[in-house]
Parts: sequence; C-alpha cells; structure tokens
Amino acid sequence: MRAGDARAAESGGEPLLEFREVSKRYGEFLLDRVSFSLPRGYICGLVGPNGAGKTTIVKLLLNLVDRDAGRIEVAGLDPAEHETAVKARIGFVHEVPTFYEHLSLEAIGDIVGSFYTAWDEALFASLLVEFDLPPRVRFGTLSRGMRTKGALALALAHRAELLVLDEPTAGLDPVFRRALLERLAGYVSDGRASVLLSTHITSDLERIADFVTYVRAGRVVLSATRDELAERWAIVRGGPALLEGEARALLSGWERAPHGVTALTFDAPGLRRRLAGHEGVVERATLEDIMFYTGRSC
Amino acid sequence: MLRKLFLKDARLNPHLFWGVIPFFAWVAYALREDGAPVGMLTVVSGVMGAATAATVAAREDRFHATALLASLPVPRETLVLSRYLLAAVAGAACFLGAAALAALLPWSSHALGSIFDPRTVVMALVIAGSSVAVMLPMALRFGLVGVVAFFAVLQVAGVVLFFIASMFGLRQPMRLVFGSVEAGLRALHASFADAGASALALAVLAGALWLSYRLSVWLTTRRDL
Amino acid sequence: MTADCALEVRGVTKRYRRFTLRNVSFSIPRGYVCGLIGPNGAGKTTIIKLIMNLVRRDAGEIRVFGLDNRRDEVAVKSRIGFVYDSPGYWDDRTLEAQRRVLGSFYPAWNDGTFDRLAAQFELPMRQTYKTLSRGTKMKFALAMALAHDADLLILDEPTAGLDPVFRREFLQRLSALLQDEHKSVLFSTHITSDLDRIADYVTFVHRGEIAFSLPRTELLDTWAVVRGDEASLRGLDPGIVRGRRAGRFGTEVLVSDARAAARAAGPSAVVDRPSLEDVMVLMAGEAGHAA
Repeated sequence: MRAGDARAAESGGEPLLEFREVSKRYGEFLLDRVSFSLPRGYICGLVGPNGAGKTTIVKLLLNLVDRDAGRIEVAGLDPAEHETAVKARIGFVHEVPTFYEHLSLEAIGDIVGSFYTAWDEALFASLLVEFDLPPRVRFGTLSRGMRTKGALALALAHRAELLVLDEPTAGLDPVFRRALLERLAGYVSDGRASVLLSTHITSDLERIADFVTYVRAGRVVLSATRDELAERWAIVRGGPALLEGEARALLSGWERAPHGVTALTFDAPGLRRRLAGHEGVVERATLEDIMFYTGRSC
Repeated sequence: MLRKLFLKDARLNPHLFWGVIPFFAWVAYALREDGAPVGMLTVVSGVMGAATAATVAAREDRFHATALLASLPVPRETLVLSRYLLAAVAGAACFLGAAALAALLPWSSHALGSIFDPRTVVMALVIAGSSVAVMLPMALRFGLVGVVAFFAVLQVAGVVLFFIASMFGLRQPMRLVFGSVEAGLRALHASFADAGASALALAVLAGALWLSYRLSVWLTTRRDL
Repeated sequence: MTADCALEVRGVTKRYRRFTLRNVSFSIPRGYVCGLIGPNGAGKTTIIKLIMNLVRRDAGEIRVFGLDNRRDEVAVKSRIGFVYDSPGYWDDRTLEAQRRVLGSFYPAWNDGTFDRLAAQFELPMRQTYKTLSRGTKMKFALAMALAHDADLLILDEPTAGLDPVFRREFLQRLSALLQDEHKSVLFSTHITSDLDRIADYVTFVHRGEIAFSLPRTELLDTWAVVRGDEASLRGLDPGIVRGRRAGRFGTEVLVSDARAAARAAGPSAVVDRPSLEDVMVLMAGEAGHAA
C-alpha cells in the first residue's frame, strides 16, 4: 500500500509537523529532547509503552500542556503562540471519543463546526453517509466503532491538515481497522495532509505507516522511515556465541532461550558482514520485534 | 460459603457502614424530644439496615462486579441468600444501635425495657422484613435502577395519595395521609400486644420473605448479565 | 473426543431481541489453545457468557471437562480462570482486599502462586483498583485467574489496549504455562497477530454462527488469498470462495483450496498464504461488519 513515491515528489519544503529537542517535565516523568518530523502527505506511527510519553506529545501538540524546552511547529506555527490557528488545522480523534452524549451527530457537527472556519457542512453530511452513521441518533447510544467513525468524520469535515489519532482502533475488529486504515491512506494521498497515528497495534502500522516514531521512557528510541526500518533493523538468531563476538556492538537487545539467542540489530548490513561465515540467521524485524527487544538483555 | 460472602460484603463496602453514622447522629438528636417515638426510631433503623443490603447489591452492579461474582464457583442461590443475610445483619445492627442510643444517652428518657418491648421488636421485624422482601428482588434484578425505582415509587405513591386526598376536597391532605398511616402503624403496634397476633404477623413475614427469596433466585438465574 | 475435551459446545442457541446466536458448536481438546475471532457484534462475548452461565442458553449443551456447565456449575467454575474485557472489580478497594476476598472462593487457591505472579507482574497490591492503568488491571485479573490452578482459562480480549511489548510478554508467559501444565485456553481477541503466536485452533464467529473451527496451521496451509483484477479472478470456482473484498489496488478473494485456486486463477493474480487477519477481514466482507 505504498503510494509514497508520488507524494514525495509533490511534498517539498517544510514538514507539516516538527518537534525539535522538546522537553517537558511532569513530576517524576521527563519527556527528554524529543525530535521527529513529519512531511505532508505521509503517515507517521507513534508507538511505545503506556506512560512512555505518547500522550504527552499529543498534548503538547494541542497546547494542552506547556513545554519546558524545544520547538514545535505545525505548518510552521508554534502551538503555544498560535493556538487557534494550529488547532484549526488539526483534527483529533480520541481513544474513546466522548462528545456530548445526549446530542446527535448532526447537532454535534453544528456545534463543533462553528469553531472551524474551514468547516464544510456538506462534506460532513456526506461523510456520515459514507461511514454509515445515523445523523440523528444520540451519540451516547452509538457503538464504539461508530463513535470512532463519528469522531473521524468531524475531523475530516474541517479538512484538517494534520489528523492525530490516539488509539483509534483499540477494541475494534480487523475489518473495521482495515477500512479505517485505507481511509487514512486515501486521505494523505494528495500530499496535502498528514496523519499521526498513535497505536499499540503494530501490524496496522506495518500496513500503512510511512514513518515510525518509537518513544520509550520519555525519549525517542527511533524515528525512521519504513524503508530504513526494513533495511537496517533485523532479527538475528544464533547460538550464545553471538553475544560474545564483535556482533554484540551492533545489537540493541536480545533474549536468551534454551535453543539459543534471539537478538535485534540496528545495523543489519553491518551485522551480516561480521557474521559472514559464522552461524546466525538474519531475518526481517517486525515493529513489534523492535519494541520487544530494544533494551532487553535477558 | 455464606460466611465468605458476608466477609466479602463487609470488606468491600466498608464506607457504607460509615454512612450510617449520620443516621445515628439524627437518632441521637431525635431522642432529645420528649415522647420521642422510640418505637418508630428503632423500626426505621431496621429499614435503614435493610436498605444497606440493597445498596451493596446495586453497588456491585455499578462496578460490573455482578458478572464477576456470578463467575465464581458459588451457587446463585447462595449469592442471593447472602443478600438476605446481610439485610438481616445490617437491620439488626441498626436496630440495636438505635436502641443502645435510646437506652444510654443521658437525654433520652427511654428505658431499655421499653425498647425491647416485644411489640416494638415485632413491629421492627415486620416493617424491616417487609421492606427487604420488596426491595431485594428489585435490587437484584435491576441493580441500582431497582433501588432508585423503589424509592421513586414510594415518592410517587405519596404524591398520588396527596392528589387523591386533595381531589376529595380534603384540606391539609398530607396531615391526613400521615395521620392515617401513623394511626395504622400504631394500631398494628398495639395489636402485637396479643401474642397470637404477633405470631401470625411473624409467620406471614416469614412466608413473605421466603417468597421474596424464591423470587429473587428465579430472577437472578434468569437475568442475562 | 468427548472424554478428552476441556470444552465442548454443542448446538447452542441464544436469542436476544436483536441478535441470535444460532446452533454454535465447537470444542477444545485438553491442553490446547483455541482462538475465538470475529467482527464486533458477531457473538464472541455471548459465547463466553454462555460458557460461564452468565446468560441462559435457549438450546444446546455446554460441557466443561465432561460436566454440564449448568448442573455442575460450581464444580465447573472452580476449574475455570477467567479474564474479562470489562473486569468488574471494585474501583475503590485495594487489590489486596479483593484478592483475599475473591480468592477465598476457590478451593484450589494458592496464595504462594498469586504472590509470585504479583511480584512478576509488579502489581501494586496496596493501591486501589481505580488508580491502575489498563495494563496493570489486566495483569491483576490474569494473576487472579492463574492463582487457583485452573485447568481452563477463558480470556476475553485480554490484550486489547496493551502495548506490544507487554502483549508479547503476556503471550510468552501464557505459552510457557500451557506447555508445562496442559491447561486449555479459550482466547477471544481482535488482535489476530496474538493468535499467530499461540493458537492451535481458530474458531471464527460471524453473525451469530460459527463460520469455521479449524486447526490454525491447517487453515493457513490450505486456504489462500488471491489478489488481482477481476479478469484474473474470474476462473475461480465459487464453491471454494469464502470471501471477497475490493480494495484500493484490486480485488482480494479468500479461498479454501489454495492449490485449486493456483490452478484456476489468471497469470497476473497472486496467490498467497493468508494471515489470520486476512481471513477475518475477507470473510467478514465489506458489508458484514457491525462497527
């Protein structure tokens, strides 16, 4: 599902979203010099354990909290200085969308829409039809999947340039997830908008994300394109000798098992060279593998 | 099994017991009045205790703990029985608490003897027991909604009575309604002087509770959680 | 099969006002893991509730280790460890209190086992349930389920909302446990990749019926996804087609006979081994999901 190449040609100039050395302290938790960027027309997956800082990143984006240091730019604007302008460009889908439970989608659309200059009422109506959502039913009675679709329709109807989705698919079946992902892929295909998708379901990201940013304990462990991940990161299986030789310096984590060692390398080509002639099977690392093995040394 | 269930209720709902304290404070205050109807007070506390059981059940519903409890290796009948047991224990505790206050507080003019007067005890049992018999099946079947509905129905009944009374051109209908209810209760209370009447009342109560229990079991086994 | 089954569901039907679970039959042999998958609203949770007798079945039989789950309810439940999607613990009470109170109902409850798991899971036993993250709540529920030596584990979406690292650790731990002790597991989930790691059998529930219940490897070895344009797919025998879907880049068809499909499909079509997710998405189809 990679239409990135066409987009790459169109998108040029400044990234839509950029975090540069952003830090934020919350009591004991520290978001530490986080940096990543997202050009227009791409989908970036944000992964990491709970409490790693993903939600903080999103809150900083929406100016719900103040940063202590660093720069954030959304379409060149700082969310702290140009809060309204930035928010007008962002469409946000919460994990469990909660709007006014007693109002219908139509009414919610009217209320929400009044805050956005780019609100397109006709588009909203047609999205409701497309997503098969009942416009006059109370939001509180809608199923989880419908709420997510409703929240997405609200975000799309003001032609948000940056769609931020926080765990939109938790609890939803693969059928719905796949439809949602395809919709997102379609949304960015003209190079105008981008998507920041925070999720635990890494297989979804493997389907659709062009970039992946992995956050852990307040730091960005890696931020890479899908191609980079495929080329540079790999799983290597071998005997205990793997951890004793030169290869060890190229490993970011491993796990020992009765049958041998499974390890993760961040430099697959380098590792292959060092292993040449020695035992060790090198294979593709999934995003989940990367998350699992990074920092592990059992 | 019943003991474990009772311990569960006690351990997981401690603040309900704390919530009874304001009630006792009111009882203590009310006892200041001369001619305070100690009978009434003790009876009402019996009902209060019974309501505790219903509220505990409703609370479990709120936390979706009802499904969890139903998944434990405990027969449904025992779960239901534990509710009635809790009502009995809570009711008795409240009754005894109010009685103790009446007997011990220096400004109360009631002697222990008059509190534990058989008529009063029977009255308390009958009223508290009836409340339990009516409230528990609703609470067990409908959860919190059931408890609220129970009290709402009482309210509505009161309002309806009010309107009916005023439709008949009766002035101060509330006084009339309360008056007749009070008179009826007093008459009931008085009738318990006769051992036979008391015995009959308790037998009827036992029957009602048994029916209530069977109804509760029937309702909970049929309830889709 | 009967004697050696951990769970046997036969001809079970349950009627609700707007939904009916119809003639559901499947079984889990002792010591195996069965994954229960299906779109939202298909009936997975209802099946679990029927097994736990939280709802009454209208027809059919459910046997756990040969015992009827209604008649021998207490005996059955003492051998089942469950983890539900909405766990149902008391928000304002500590984990310690709840563990003591609820654990006491199981004859085979083992405090030592629970303590070990609590240490492993790093459970903050003195905190109230409400203050825990979702992951910790799940870990607590799992510790409760595992501490009484249950022979059958019933897990309803236990890993939803958990990060991939924890999910994998959870599955690893579960795998290890199963290998050692011949426990059986019914695992309902949306995250089909989890099942890839652990399921021996896959049961697919769709619109209140069992679409299939097969060993996972057999399913993935004999079924296939054929991708291509309409022309190349025309030759496929409708009898082996189990689902189809028009996607952004062409049509995908799920077939139950990979070899026949390979022969019949046009040269530009690609025949691939399906993932469980493919199976689920294609069987449910576009109009099928009740999102």
